Amino acid sequence: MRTDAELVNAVLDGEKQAFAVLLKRYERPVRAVALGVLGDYHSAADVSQEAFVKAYEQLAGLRKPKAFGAWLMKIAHRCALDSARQKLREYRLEMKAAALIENPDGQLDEEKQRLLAAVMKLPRSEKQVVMLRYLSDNSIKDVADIVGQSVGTVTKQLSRAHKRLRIILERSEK
Amino acid sequence: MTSEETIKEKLGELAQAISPDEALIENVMSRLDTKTTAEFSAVTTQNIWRTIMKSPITKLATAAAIIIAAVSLITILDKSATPAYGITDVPGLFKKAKAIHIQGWIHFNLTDKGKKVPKAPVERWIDLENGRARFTGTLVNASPEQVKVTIKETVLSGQYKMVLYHGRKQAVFYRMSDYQRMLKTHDCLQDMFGRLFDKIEDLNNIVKTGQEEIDGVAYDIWTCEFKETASDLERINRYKYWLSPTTGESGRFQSWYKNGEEPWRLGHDYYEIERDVDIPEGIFAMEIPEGYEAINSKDTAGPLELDEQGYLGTRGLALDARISFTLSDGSVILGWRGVDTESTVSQRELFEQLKFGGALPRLPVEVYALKPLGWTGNTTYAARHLAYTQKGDELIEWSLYVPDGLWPKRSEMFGYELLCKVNSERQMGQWPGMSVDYGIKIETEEDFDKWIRGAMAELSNDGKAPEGVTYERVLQLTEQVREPFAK
Repeated sequence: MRTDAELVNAVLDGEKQAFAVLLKRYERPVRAVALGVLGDYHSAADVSQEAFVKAYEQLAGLRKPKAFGAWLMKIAHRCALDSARQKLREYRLEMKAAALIENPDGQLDEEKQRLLAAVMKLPRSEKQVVMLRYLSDNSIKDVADIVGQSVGTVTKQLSRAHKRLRIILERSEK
Repeated sequence: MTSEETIKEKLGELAQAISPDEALIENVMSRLDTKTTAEFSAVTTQNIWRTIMKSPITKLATAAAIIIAAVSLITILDKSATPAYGITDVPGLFKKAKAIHIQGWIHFNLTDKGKKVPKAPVERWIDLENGRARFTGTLVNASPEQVKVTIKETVLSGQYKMVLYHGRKQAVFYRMSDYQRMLKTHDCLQDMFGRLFDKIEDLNNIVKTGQEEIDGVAYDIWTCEFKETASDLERINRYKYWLSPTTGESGRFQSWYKNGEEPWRLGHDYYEIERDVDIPEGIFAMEIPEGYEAINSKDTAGPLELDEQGYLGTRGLALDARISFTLSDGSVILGWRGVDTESTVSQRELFEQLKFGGALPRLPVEVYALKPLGWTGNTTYAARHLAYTQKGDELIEWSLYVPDGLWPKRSEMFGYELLCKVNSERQMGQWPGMSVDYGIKIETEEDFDKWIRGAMAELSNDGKAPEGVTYERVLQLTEQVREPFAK
């Protein structure tokens, strides 16, 4: 399995299909980031597309190719927040609430929203391994290969992330 | 209690709710078909973020956008808003505002030579989008001979802070860094939020008690009463909020108080509470009113030191508390100095062997622990060294303090008492009491990087924060420090 850094360098060398591998790898984590901000699947999908296109356009400016995952999720987060602000300028709050109520299937339920919000609060490296492990269905070994760390390090990061998520969720229940 | 297995299960369920979207992949790739690799050569190696950080103007605009975006996020996730507004909607509505205006009065229960001290005006303009603020401050000097209330007004805009002392008709300018202006705008906002919204967010027994029409608009009146916990006084406070159920607009806010059997007295009365208001031209212009003496000018203005907390010097020793922050796990980070003011010997060797997470430097005055001030609990915060920075000739210690038990909310305390010991041959006895504020609340890595690493960079000759002090490492350290307490 090629690491993120290898794929980024391949794209910059002209291998556009290498970007498709990155797309597939991060498509669900990026949508999760957008979903965490926007709350509905359709807006999240639109924003995710924009985030990937922006990442492609700005790829030459990424100083550390191995930081691609965290960098991409930052882009996605910014795109989602820009979209959210734009929507707030255009709609009154009660209209947006009404739209959400009318389209309950277009969003995550409250428990998953809370979990997603908790994931967003994790430190960068822990957030990335959680996203790659659970949302991209990678094995721990694959995650280690992608981020260029040892299996032991990734296991520790996941374990810490699980503990931290537990604490964040317990506190938010009080 | 949620176990690790339950977390893994929930993450699995979350993953199932976000299933793969092949169409997204196809759409992106087909959009990229129109772009050629030649476009990469048009993008320089200098990435956009570095461009932003090089320019003070774009850095500020980006910082302001991050602040707005961060507070907007809270509102997006808050599903409590409905077309009929209730009191719990109000903090969220304000947190997403781009501009806020508050105007009103502070009332004093004081007399001066037999006459009641008149109320003083209060006004705040906060432009979150551009990181600007204008706000009044009230200073009360009370002695047996005289009670004097003076008003000062502060304007934060661009690279400058202007303070107008209306009592003595003087104007003073300071030069500010971007960090300082963001910090002071944030403080102005948080202070206002704390006063207006802490009790709503605590859901502190708040009920609808009436209705009133003001200027043709119908408002519900919401009231809460609470005992003053952070004090020995038998004091009860009553807050009243006027809220339009149809528009969510706030019509008025009043705070009342009652000591023992005395009658209720009015404290604060805000009659104008506007959000997303159009800010009138010139509000942030730094014009000196006619008849005022300019102590200096923008050209001669000195730099504003990052010196948010307090300085206490006595008998040749001094403790200089620069800035404090509280993390969402209850731990505190403090930037401080402890010096012998009569010594010319550098303190550098006291810092050189220190390690991240280890003991503090044996400074002449040492803040070895903290305790919440005004709280009824009995928790002490144990200290660990994080790093040090140097600004000019001054060495600043950055310490982490971790509570050994439960910790209070911001609204339940006045701040943190610094527990100090003297490591000096000077005969000092007990170090006098000193406290610091709760400070900015740090909830995410972004907060940590912006505020804490930003403060470290601000108090550093090379403008950089120490590399090893990261959110992740600090949270790991607090877990390690807590482990013995948890057993």
